Amino acid sequence: MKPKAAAYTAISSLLLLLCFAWAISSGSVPVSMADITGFLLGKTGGSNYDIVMKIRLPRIIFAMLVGGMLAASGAMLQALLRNPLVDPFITGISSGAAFGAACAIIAGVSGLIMPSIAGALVTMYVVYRLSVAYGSLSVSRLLLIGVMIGSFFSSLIMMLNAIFSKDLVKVVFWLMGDLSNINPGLAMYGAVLTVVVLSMAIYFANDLNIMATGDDEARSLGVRVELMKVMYFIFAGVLTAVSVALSGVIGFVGLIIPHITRFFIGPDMRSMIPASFISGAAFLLCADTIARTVFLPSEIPVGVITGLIGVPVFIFLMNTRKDA
Amino acid sequence: MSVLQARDIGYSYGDKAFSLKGVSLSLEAGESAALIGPNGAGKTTLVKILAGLTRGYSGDVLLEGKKIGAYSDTKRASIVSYIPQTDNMTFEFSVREIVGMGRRPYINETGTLGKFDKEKVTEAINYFGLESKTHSSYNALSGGEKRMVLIARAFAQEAKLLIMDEPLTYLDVKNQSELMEHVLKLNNTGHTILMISHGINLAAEYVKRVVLMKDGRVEADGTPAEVIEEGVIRRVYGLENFYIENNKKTGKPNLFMIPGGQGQNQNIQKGESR
Repeated sequence: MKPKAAAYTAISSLLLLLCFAWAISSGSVPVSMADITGFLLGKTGGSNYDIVMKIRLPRIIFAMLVGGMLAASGAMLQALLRNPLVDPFITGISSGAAFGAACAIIAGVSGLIMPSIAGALVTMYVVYRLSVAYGSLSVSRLLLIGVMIGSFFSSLIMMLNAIFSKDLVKVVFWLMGDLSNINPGLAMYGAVLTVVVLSMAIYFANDLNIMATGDDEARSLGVRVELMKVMYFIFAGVLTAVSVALSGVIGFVGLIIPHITRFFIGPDMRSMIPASFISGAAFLLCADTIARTVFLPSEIPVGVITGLIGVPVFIFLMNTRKDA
Repeated sequence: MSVLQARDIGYSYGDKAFSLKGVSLSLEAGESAALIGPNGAGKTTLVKILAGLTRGYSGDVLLEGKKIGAYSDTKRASIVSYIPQTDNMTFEFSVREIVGMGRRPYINETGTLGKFDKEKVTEAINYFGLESKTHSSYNALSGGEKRMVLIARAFAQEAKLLIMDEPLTYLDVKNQSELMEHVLKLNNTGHTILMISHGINLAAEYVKRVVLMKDGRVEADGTPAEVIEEGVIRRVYGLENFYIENNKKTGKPNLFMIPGGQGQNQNIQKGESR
C-alpha cells in the first residue's frame, strides 16, 4: 500500500474507532465509557450490560459489516464499469437482491443469502445486457435502466407483500434499509463470505486497475478480461446481496464512499477495496447512530440518512463530471 | 523469420457492414509497416485480430510460427503489444502507474513490481523523455504525451512486436514528428512495428513497407514507392484531385491535394508545370 493510501486507511480506522465509541455510548440509555470499557474487557453484570453487549454491540458490528460491504461493492462496480457514478443501489442490484430475498420469504425457503445473491446476479446481468448499445456499454443507459429496474423490483416487493399478506419483515426494511433486525447466524455467515470475497478481490485487484484503462489495453497486457469481469461482477453481487439480506436496501454508501476514498488515495484498487471497506464501515455506523438517536425514542430507517446525504452528492458529482 | 503471419483471415460483424475477406500478411522481424486505407477498410479489425484481441475469425494467425490462440495471455503479451487510440481514462492513474502496467506479463496477479520491474519502468519513462511527468495524472497530459506514455508502456512490456492503432490522430505536426522519431528509434533497436495510419506521407517517410487495404482486402503491399502511386491511390481512395511527388530530401513519395473538388481531372504528373 502506498504511503498516501496507508495514511488514509489509518485515519479511516481511527474515525471508525471514534464512531464505535460514539455509537456504543449513545442511545435512549446513556452508558459511561468506563462501564463500556469494562464490559468489552469481560466484566459482566450491571443494569447496562445487556444494552451494551446484546443490543448495541451486535448492531454496531452489523452496521460496520454492511457499510464496508456496500462501499467495497461500489468501488468494484465503479472500476468495472469505468464510471464513478454507479453503485449497487443506482444500478438496481440491491433491489434485485431484495426481491430475491422477499421471494424466498414467501416461498418459505430458509436462509436469505443465496436467494439474495441469485436476485443480485440476475439483475446485474439484465441491467448490463440492456445497457450495451452498439457493442459498447452506455453509462447513461446503465443509470436509467438501473433506476427503472430498481423501481420495478421495489413495486414487485410491495405487490408481493400485498398479495401474500406475509410478513416480509417490514416493507420499509427492504426499501429503505434497517439495521435493527439483527440475525447473528446470518451475520456470521455473511462475515465469512465477505472475508473470502474481499481477499480474492484484493488479490486480483491489479487486473481490475488495468481493465479500468480499457478492455483492449488489458487484453493486450495479458489480463483475462472476460474472466475478470465475471469474477468481479460476482464479487460485487455477492457483497451487495449479503448486505441486503442483512439489512435491506441501503442506498448511496457504495457511491459516496468509493468516490471520497479515490479522491484521497487515487484509483489503485489494491488500496481502494480495503480503504473503502473501512470508510464504508465508519460511514454507515455513523449514519445508523444518527438514525437511532436523533429522534429518540423513535428510530428512522438508516437508508433515509444515507439517501439524504447521497442524493445531493450524486447530483453534485453528475454536474461536475463531463462523462456523466 | 516471420514474427507474425496472417493466413487467409476472414471476419464478419453481425451486420456484415465491415468485414475482412481473406487477408494474408506476413511481418518479418525488425520490419516496420504502415497499414493505410479508406475508412471502413477493416484496418482496426485486422490489427486487433493480429494482436490476439479479437477471436471468431477464420484463417490462421501465427506468432513466431505458433498459432496465436495457443499462447497463454501473458506469454502472448510478452511478444506482442497493442497500442489503441486512448484519450482520457475514467480514473486518474499517474504516468508511472500506467507505464508500470506494462510489466503485467512478467508478474503475478497482485501486480507487485520487483526491483527489476521497477528499473524497467524507470527506463521506459526516461527513454521517452517523460521523467518530469512521472507522477502527473495521465489525463492531465497533452495528446502527444499521452501517446508517448502508451508507447512507453509497450516498451516496458518488452514486446518485440508493436501494433499501433492510429497513433498520430489528433496530434499536431510537432507531436507527430516526435512520436514517429521514437517509433523509428524502437524499430532501429529491433522492434517490429505495424501501425495504422491515415497520414500517408508520414507513413511513407518513416516506415519501410506500406500495406493498403480497401473493403476488407489487401489492395497493395510493398515499399512506399510501390504503394503510394497515383494509379493505386486513385483506384483505392477514388481520388482525382491529387498528385504525388517525391520528397526532395528523402526521396519518399508524398501525396498532395489540389483544391477544387473531385472529378475535375486535375491530376498533375510528377514534374509537370508547378
